[in-house]
Amino acid sequence: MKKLLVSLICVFLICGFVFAGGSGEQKSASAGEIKYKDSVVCADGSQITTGDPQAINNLQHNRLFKCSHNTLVSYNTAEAKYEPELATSWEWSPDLLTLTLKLRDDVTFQNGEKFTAKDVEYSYKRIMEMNSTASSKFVGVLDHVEVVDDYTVKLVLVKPNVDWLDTLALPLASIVNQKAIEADELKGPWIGTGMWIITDLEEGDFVHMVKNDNYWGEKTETRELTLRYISESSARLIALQNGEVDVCIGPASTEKSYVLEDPNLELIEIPSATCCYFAFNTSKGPGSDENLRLALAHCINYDDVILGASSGEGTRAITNWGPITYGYYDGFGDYTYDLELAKQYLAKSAYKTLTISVKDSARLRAAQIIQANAKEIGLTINIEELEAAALTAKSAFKTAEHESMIYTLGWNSYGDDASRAYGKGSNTNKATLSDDRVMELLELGRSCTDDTQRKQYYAEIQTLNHEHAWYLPLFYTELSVAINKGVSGVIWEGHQSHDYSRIEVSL
Amino acid sequence: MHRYVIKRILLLIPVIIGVSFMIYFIMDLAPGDIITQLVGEDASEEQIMALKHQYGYDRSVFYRYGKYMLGLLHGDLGTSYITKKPVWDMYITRLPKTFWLAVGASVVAIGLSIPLGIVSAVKSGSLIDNSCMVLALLGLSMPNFWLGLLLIIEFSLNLGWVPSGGFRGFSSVILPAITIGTGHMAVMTRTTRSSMIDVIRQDYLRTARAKGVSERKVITKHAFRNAFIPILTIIGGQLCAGIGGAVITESVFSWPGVGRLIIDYVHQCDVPVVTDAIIMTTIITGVIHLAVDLLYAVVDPRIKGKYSRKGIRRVRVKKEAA
Repeated sequence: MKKLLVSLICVFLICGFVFAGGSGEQKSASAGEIKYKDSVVCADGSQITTGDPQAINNLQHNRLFKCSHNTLVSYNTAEAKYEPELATSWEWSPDLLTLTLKLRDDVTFQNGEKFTAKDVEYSYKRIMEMNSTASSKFVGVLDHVEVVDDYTVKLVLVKPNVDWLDTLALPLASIVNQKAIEADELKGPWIGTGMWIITDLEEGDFVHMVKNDNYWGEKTETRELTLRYISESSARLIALQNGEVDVCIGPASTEKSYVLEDPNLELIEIPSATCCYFAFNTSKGPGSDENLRLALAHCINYDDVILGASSGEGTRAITNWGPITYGYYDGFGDYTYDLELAKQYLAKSAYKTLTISVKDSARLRAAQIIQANAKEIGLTINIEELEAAALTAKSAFKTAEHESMIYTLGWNSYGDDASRAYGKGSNTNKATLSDDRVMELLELGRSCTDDTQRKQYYAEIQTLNHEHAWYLPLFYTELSVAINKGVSGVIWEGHQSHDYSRIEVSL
Repeated sequence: MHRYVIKRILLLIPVIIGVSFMIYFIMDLAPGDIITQLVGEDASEEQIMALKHQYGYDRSVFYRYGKYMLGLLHGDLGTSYITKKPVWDMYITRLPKTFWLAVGASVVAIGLSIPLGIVSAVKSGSLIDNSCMVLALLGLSMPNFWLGLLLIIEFSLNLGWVPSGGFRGFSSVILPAITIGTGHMAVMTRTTRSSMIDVIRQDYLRTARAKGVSERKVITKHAFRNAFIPILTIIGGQLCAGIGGAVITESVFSWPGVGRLIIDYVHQCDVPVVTDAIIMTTIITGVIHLAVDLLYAVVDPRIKGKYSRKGIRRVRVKKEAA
């Protein structure tokens, strides 16, 4: 019996030794004196399901598409300006309805096909016909595409939209190749003009890419790039600690100390564009009463909310607008913590109870703190915990049934992104706002080319929100990434669509 | 025997219909829908209506279920709403990984529990018996996510022997197999022990010993073989559970198996993926249980007789005579 046990243990130990895996081969490639890893692995907690940039629009997919595909223009967040990518220059028509772009003539797709204006026409038509999350950015905005010649294209819009360039910079507006898609409907969209060629995609596991040696732009020393899905945050960090991966997105806040203590690792804190805020349903019920809204605004202890909901790792938000979003304004200041003032507002309100709908533990904790704060002024708050899909359905603009909710919005950099939170009919408009002045300001902002004037429009929207307390800004979440100390070349973005395309890891 | 096998396979048909019906309707009752997943919250009304029409969400759930079953009858498992890939391809990519995990866990469980159970039964009431039972209880009580993380920290982070997760060849099976196998081991050890204790007290073993058969042979050949049927049932059940997917362990070890496939796509309301994966799991479960039933006959020749037509007739004659 003993022999059996001993042999079993030995078999496992031997197997462990023989097959022990690591981060794979780490052959070095020289670039001057610095040596780099051939193969780099980035780990994320969300899975990648497709290599088609036009089928989906979310963070983990955006990181992939920034590697495999290119857009006509790109947005430089650090310098807050648009830069050429597949387009070399662009020009607006005086009526702001037509954007003419000159394209690069030295670009080939990963299948060897030459990139021309027809690919732009095909790609954008495909987006509009796909009925995907990407399509909603194009349908009703882009009227049609005109191919002027092989390297000139005109994009004709339905109505003026000065933020159109930003849409073109999103990974969902990546250019795909018609021939590749017609030959293989599933893997054809993987073919782009980017630095990395997708060779293998196993949803629920990884995406493997190899360097495109025919890439038109500046190349990296790395030869292989893998994006791995590790859903559990502790396991993700351990994979970084033992060298299996080089980048770990979102380590748990309780485990950040391990990163700080490890001399081989580095913790990157990125100012986040994600705002957590309180939204009243202003169309009916208690949320339609401005006095109740202001009463709550003045009784919340915002620091406690940050401490409870995000372990103190958040920044106080004065407006619910994205901090990197065009038109950010906080000149009106904070709501003062003033229980007497809050009681006065509540006395004027016909409502003494309010229900908050939440969907996850962080927001539940925030709601519980607000509940305790409100109790001090005599406002009873009920908390309703719902599953994500149920809350989405309950808070849809047309059929909104919620009284209030705590919502988190990841903001993009362009001004018209405010239409999501404030636009009439938008399902992200959790306050179900349809205020005429706000709608007018959004429309004016969308078609205004005067920078100062446009910023004033957006400042007025935020000031109106502060006065009427439709949304109560709570905090901006903090974004952390743990990396191998040798990692360089990544563009870390506050909206989390990081650009790994030029990643290198020095040995 | 053949009639029995065919009958059991045919019995799977109503089971599949029942399971698919339940899954389809439960998914329909669940909050949220695939349309929101596909176009996001910012989609226009026109887009939403077009997609509802495309996926049949503008018609009743009965219509959608009927259409789905019609496809299934023609061998078409359908296409994922999210990935647009054939569901069969998605499932078959994951199945081998889940299979290796289930087999690995069973190897760990069987390899540990049978010796422990036998020793425990033979030394019943002794310190060894109590130690084995404490060990079994420990295995049963430890949550998989906790044990999994401890194993990762020790064997992957500190010792660097095995990868921390993902499917990276044989070495990556070891830790998740131990994690799942430990829980299974606990149940199997207790079953082996109780089953062996029942058999050890039988007269025929005393006769064997009186005839001079060695104690080792008495236990392994005469006692264990007769005690094996309940253990075999447990092994079959645990293998089925493994094939269905060990969601928590798969999550801790980033294992791209069937369990995570189902969970990930339940969250995204991808009805074809979830329904098909569960139907396939039902079929495999049915086949494993059938195999276990057939193995009873190998272990115990008396059962083999019952499967044959003669055996069935003999049983009937005996009943009539009684």
